[in-house]
Amino acid sequence: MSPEKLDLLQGTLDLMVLQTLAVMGSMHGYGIARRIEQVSADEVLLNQGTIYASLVRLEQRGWIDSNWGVPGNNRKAKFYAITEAGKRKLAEEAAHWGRLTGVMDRVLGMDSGAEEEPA
Amino acid sequence: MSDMRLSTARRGLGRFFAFFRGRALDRELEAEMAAHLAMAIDENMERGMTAVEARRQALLRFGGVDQAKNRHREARSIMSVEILMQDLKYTVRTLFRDPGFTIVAVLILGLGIGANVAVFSVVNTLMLRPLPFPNAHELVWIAPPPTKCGLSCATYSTDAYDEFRVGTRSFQDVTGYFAFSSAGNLALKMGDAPTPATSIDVIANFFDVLGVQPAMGRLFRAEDGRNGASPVVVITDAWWRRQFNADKAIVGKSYDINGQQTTVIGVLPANFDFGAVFSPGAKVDAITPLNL
Repeated sequence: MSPEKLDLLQGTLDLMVLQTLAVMGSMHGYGIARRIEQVSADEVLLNQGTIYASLVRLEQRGWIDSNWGVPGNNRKAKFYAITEAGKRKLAEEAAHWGRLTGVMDRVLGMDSGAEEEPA
Repeated sequence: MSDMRLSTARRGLGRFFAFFRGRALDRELEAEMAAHLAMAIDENMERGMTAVEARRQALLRFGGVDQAKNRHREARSIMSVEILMQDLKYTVRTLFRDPGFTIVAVLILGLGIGANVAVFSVVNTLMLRPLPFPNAHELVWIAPPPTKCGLSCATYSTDAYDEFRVGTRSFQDVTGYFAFSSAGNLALKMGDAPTPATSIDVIANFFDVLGVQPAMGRLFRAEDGRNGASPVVVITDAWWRRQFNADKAIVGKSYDINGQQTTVIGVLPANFDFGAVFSPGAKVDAITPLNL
């Protein structure tokens, strides 16, 4: 992989947040940001602050819910959890993403030999 | 199911209040970000960083507190417009799906609101708004009990008026006007063609009883209503402006009104509106003295 970190495509952060919440259950913003960084093995360039715009977007669309709570270390934080609508949206988006990457793989994997093959 | 509906309702309310709660939301975000940074600093210190370095790294990874705040705000405001549009679209779609219901609902609402406005404007004019006269609380309206035979039964004869005026001990004075005037009963001849206007005949003490002062000139005296008095007229502010070009020297001038040279003796103040007080909807241009 190139030494430079990947810039996040528009909308991909929202999807990452949804997936993280779907897998991890209720989490606060910092936890979500750390989790995404860990899973992506620090390959994405994530300003942790941008996660909050993503969270408010998702919450206003009704895909996640939030509540103030106290985590293990006794510090008050806002916890987010995915909703039923959010799970449906995630399944939809994940399928869409899968198709898109599949197409990209095929197109980018095309070699000159394929061109000569009859259709 | 009920849980879902509950959370939908809560979210709806949240959106509604978010509209008025921009600053509260900012404060909430600040608290959230402060917690975030504190947790990051804690974690960095657990890894053995000094407090200063832990804080520096945490801020670095966060990537600009103000920037995050602006993005949050932006997301919020774009969303509220988007959501508003969505809600509108949904509403319109729902309404179009059942045009019968929509038409009936719109008609009922329209008629209901219209009727309310109409009734209120009448009630407001007639009953709620104080009369636009000094000592309005001392004024009373004397009228026969309501009957079905029209204006004739709602008025008094001049004899009855004289009786009232002489016999009353409850009132300082009694006045009246001629209620049978019709619109356009006055013909003002200034050029070749007469201009129609509306005048009302009032008893000479009319303005004294109401306490109205002229804006210019004078109002009626008892002798203006007597037999053989030279014809005079008092004009309203609106007519003075419209017909006489707000002529500052109009008092004392004579005009051909209904074939008689009639002297303008005064102009009423702008706030005097005969129609608004005595016959809502009527437009009165001039007041003439009634010869009892």
